[in-house]
Amino acid sequence: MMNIDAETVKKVATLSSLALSDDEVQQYQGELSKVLNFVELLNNLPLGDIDVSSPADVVASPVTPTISAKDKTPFRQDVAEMPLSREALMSNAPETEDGAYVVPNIL
Amino acid sequence: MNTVAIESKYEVVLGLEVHVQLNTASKLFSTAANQFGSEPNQNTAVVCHALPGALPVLNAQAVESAIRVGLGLGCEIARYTKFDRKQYFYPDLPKAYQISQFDFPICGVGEITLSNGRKVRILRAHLEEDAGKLVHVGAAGLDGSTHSLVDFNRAGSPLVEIVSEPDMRSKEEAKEYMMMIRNIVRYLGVCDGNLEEGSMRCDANVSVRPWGQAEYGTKAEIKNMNSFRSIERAIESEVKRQIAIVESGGKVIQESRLWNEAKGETVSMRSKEEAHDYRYFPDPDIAPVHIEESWIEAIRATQPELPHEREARLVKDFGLSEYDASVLTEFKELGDYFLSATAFSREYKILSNYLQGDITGILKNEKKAIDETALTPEALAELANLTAQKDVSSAIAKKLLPVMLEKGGLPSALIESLGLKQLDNVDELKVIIAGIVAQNPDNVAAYKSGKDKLFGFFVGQTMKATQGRANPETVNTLVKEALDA
Repeated sequence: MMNIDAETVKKVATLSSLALSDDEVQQYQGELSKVLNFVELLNNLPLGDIDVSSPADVVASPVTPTISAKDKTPFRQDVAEMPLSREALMSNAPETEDGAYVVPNIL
Repeated sequence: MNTVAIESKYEVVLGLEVHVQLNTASKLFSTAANQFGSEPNQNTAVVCHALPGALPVLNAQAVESAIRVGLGLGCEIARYTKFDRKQYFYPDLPKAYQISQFDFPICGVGEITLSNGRKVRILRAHLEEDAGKLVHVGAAGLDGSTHSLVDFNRAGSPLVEIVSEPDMRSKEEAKEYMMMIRNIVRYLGVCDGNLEEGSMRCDANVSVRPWGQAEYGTKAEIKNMNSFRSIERAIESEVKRQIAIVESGGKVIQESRLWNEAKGETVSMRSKEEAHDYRYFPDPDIAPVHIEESWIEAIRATQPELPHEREARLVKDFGLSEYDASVLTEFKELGDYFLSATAFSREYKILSNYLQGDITGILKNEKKAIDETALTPEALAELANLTAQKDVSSAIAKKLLPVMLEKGGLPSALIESLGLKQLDNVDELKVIIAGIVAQNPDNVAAYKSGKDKLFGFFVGQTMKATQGRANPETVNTLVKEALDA
């Protein structure tokens, strides 16, 4: 069982620029621990001797049989296109000025 | 002890992180044009704005250019590479993470040898995307601004970050290393190498230690140097600062510092320690990249000539001195002109002299690059040939070249139209020289009494009287005859 302590939750909150109340810290401690424990299940998979630092082996393993390793890197050719106008791209911005987003004073 | 003596007690240790902006048509993960100087946000697409659901797709050309850089630096090229998210909050980063490479960079270890023989090891070179640009309103900088404007034109542009080991030992070595990388990427054609416009940037890791100490001192990372001069000045200033701290019994703090060009000093960025916790993890939006051996070989087979290869060729195939070869290599366009002109002239030394001397001088005055002038390699070659045949003197060349650069045309035609044909007529020159001798009896007497230097006076007067058109060799002979008569 993994349990996240309050300090870790506070640190992650700071890194994410989130302000949490003490109640919320406690709440997320429980929720994040649950998430980690759920993911922890992966450690029970019978992976044998697969070297995780050699991901080509990982993708070729039966665990993820639908992904083939080679020649499948989806590349894009180097062609410049702008399918949407600047106005369309920025239409949800709360505030713009001279074609740029406006953000509050940073310091 | 004076400052110099104190500073000589310390060894400077430098490592550089060089960012090279690749000149692809589109961005690293977005179809938007990789181009600057446009209206804000004009070169953007959904990925650049991090609109919900927008998915990055890797630009094959950026990968190829990164491999070219790696091969040019003698780096190992990865067969397997992947992309990771580097997370931090800043308004110029719309996703709140930068797509970079953490544990599987595209290029592994390499090495560059400086002119003094110092080998600088390269730890790695990886691909990553650039951030956007902020304009702070209401003040000269961030300090005191009322709000900021965010422009994502640069966001997502492909960068190759080249990380060196701490192998450099002086600011001069750091500058040379940077210049060598700039020249390599320019020869490769993957970046214009313009520091002032930001297409190449570098951060320097600076530390000092007493001579003989095995461990490195604590380093500071210096940012915001945008010219070769500022790289040298920033390192010099930071080294002085660190030595002063150590000498007074203090400890250098590991931190990032901004170079302030106007104040001539580095200033702490005072960023919170935890801001450096980037929480890298593999970007699940981008599949790992498997680079086929055949792709690497195809790139290797089409690598352009590298600076050190060209330099060697200029010496070996054209008999230039190592100095001439290094200058023509350093300034790639001059070297290109030289090589093109060799198709029309075998006067290699003369071609090289014109390019490095008169032509470079004019270009500096006019603030132009040679390919922005009307001079053709063919015209330059003809000038070299005429010079070798002694039909054009250096004085005449000085009159011809500005016109050739400004308006173009072959020197043979210009000599006619500008009336610069060399004056070779012995009888005509004799009359002129006799006149000068007659007008300067004092100098003649002084010359005859042993003031040999005055010979130059008479030659100079003759050249002046002929507007520089007289054949210098003929003038030398005739002046000698006249004075010794």
